[in-house]
Amino acid sequence: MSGVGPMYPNEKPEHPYLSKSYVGDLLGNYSSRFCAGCGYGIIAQIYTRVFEDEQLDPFLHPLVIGIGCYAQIMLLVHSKAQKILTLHGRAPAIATGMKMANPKMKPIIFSGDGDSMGIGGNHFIHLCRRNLDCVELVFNNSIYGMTGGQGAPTTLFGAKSSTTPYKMFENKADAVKIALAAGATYVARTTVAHPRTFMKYFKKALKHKGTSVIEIVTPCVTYFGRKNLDNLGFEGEEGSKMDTGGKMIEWIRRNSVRNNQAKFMTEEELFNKYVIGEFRYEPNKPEYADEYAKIQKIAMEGKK
Amino acid sequence: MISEKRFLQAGKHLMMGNEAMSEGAIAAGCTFFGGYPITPSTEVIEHLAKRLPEVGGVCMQMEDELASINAVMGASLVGAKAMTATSGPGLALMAETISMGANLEIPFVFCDVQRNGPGTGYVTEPHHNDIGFARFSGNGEFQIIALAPMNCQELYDLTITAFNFAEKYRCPVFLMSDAYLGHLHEVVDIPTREEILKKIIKRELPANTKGRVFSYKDPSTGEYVIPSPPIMGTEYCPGLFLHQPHGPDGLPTPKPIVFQEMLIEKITSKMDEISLTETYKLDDADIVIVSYGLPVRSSYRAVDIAREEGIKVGIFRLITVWPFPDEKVKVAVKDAKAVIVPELNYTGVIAEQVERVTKLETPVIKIPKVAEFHHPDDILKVIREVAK
Amino acid sequence: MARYEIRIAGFGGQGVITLSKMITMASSLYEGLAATQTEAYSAAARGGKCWAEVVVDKDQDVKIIDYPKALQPYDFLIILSEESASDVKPNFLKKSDTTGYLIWDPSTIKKFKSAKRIKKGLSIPVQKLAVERFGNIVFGNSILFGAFTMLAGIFSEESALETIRNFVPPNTLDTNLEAFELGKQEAIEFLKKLEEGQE
Repeated sequence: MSGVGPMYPNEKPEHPYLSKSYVGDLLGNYSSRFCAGCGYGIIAQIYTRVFEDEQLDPFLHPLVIGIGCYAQIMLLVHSKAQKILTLHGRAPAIATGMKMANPKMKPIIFSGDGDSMGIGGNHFIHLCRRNLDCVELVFNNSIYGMTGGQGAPTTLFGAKSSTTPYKMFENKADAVKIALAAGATYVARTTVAHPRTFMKYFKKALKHKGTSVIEIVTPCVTYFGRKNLDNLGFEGEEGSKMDTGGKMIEWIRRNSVRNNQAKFMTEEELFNKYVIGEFRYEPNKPEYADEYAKIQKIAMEGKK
Repeated sequence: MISEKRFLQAGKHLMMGNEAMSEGAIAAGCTFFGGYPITPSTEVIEHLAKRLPEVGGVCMQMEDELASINAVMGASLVGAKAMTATSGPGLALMAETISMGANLEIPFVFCDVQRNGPGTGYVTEPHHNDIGFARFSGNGEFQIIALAPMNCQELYDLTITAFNFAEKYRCPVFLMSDAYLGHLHEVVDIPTREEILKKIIKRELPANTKGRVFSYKDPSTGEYVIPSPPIMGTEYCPGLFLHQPHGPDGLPTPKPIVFQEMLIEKITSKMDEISLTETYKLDDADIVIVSYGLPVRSSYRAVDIAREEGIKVGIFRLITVWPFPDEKVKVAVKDAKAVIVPELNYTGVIAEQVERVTKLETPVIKIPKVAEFHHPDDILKVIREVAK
Repeated sequence: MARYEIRIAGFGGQGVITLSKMITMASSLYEGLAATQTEAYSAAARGGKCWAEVVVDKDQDVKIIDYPKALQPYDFLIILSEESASDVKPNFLKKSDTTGYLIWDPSTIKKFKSAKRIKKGLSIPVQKLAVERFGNIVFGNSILFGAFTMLAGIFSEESALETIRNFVPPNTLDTNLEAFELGKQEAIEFLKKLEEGQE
């Protein structure tokens, strides 16, 4: 939030959803703390919009937020949403506790790529394995933004970051593949360059009973875009700097391949590309809290 | 609705220490347990996996210790009484979240069945080596409460007390059991359902929660009166986020020291209620044994024999180990010629505390033991030497 | 203070821990004495060397066992496997009028060097008897329990029978009681012989 109170008090927001956000509602301010060109505003906006349109019950949809730049999203999401800012990477575990202690709930987890692929990888895997009824959004900006642009497990090959000053040489982690292997029942990937698709997936995830994982590729202009060329340093290709939000959104759009097209592409062609689309939707798989309720019933009746 | 199976039949039961503790938790109204098997605390999760579903609760075996304590915190956030049990290495992993729990002021009970260390150590041997760790069990400064039982009956009773303390003071409460106590079979006298229910502090929503700011201090007396913990999924939940530093008035504060002071003072100012101690033949004692947990049992016999020999010795027993009861210890050792501290560890964490309280004016004699606890003769020998 | 320290040693799965629990239960729950039991933990309980220790105080005024570990010399020693028998020495047992008994099983222990030197050693081929008489090895526990009840005299026979009723599945209760009786008779005969020998 830049300053307190509306910057232009007489100005009405163009967008009716802006005043629904926490700062919009409380302070009449609809600016954010995110850098110019950041994608998290789009995600917050869509969350708020879905929350308002679908009339989600705030008491049953706690928002569990991990640690990263995106943690500031709590100022921009719907004012009625109940939020808890957790430890780095532990959001899925906290959500598990919440869901099991109050099975009517459907926690919504916001996590970053460092959260779910790095420090909290284990929690992420086991959340998917249990098929606990919740929505996990993985924001992938392929960099550690909050600490100042260090390499992440999702950093693309050849990219530069402050801890990979020459180039990134590690293989990247793929949240979708991990979620699929671990057994999440709704898995999709989209980007902030496709906001309507994200909205569609998010609504679908809210209605799905089971673990839904949506990876959202989002730009970080300040620490990823400014330091990298859009060819990610590959020789023989002419690259241009991605130092504005527009350029990065354009790069993400170009770097994304729909999964129906990806089927006909070779591994080399898909290298460093984001395959987007829905990967799995299995609505009838047993859900953890439901299964536990059955166990409770057996135990209460005294059967063995 | 209270499940019929929540309370065992009143009367005597032969139980293992870890089971007694689990039953104490169930009686206290614990409905969520998140744990990861670790010797020697494994019987807790085994017992609760069977018992908690019977009373409509949830026992989850999580993927690791980090997940278990976080799940416990999540469950506590939505209004369940929750606990976890682990041993030293697990405690090390959980430290991050204990600190977070203290910051969020979320109640949970933490059972540490201590085993020998450092590292993996001799896993089935008792060793009170987490006493110091429990006090400083995380980053940042905060105050926890730690209770040290010495038999299976106390494991049952003190677990209920631990849950009450957690609810009342909104902080992590530790139960410092150990490998020997956890595997000891003893008779536990279970009180009746009515007696237990009378003791228990329930998690309840305060009246008229909407838009009301709950102060942490009674304006007339200036004493801390801690409001009941917020519950997510109800109206009694702060708007922005839970861990916002706040002052005793319940309002957000930009000054970290105000919050820091409150986190510690809300517990240390209530020493009268929190500090549980016991004495044995202390009234005319020249030599005072200060101890906690298993070594106290051995001290009883040592004191009895020494008294027969005409040595005036008594026991001051700490049930609440942390926060350390400075004032009470000061009074207990006031006229003492010497203080003996038999402790089941090498460094003597509590002995150091006693030294601090006595300002080194009274000699403090440590009896360190590692991975095996004191035989009465070990203590008696020292008593005789001191009495000379 | 009238402390009794009992140690049972054998193989995991022989019922070492069950027997120790039965002794503890009989003395604490039904006889109202202070008692504690500890056992071998982890891998040992699943097939390795296994042991359990019971400490009972016959003094009704004692509310808590101050030192819950059994130390040598023991008041009663029950040895069920050759491996545990190998390191037993006569000085493992207390020299006392009422205690200092050894119970061992010659059907599982082929070689027991020190047994000859222990006067108060009662040998019952428990496993053999259990299989021959009752058709299942599990009844060995009740035989031993019967023998122990008579030898030790810590708790009454009623308390022992109550423990068996509490401990065993209802459909095997009668067989277990028979086995208990068998162990009891063995012990009575043994005590008689011992008395004659002393005279």
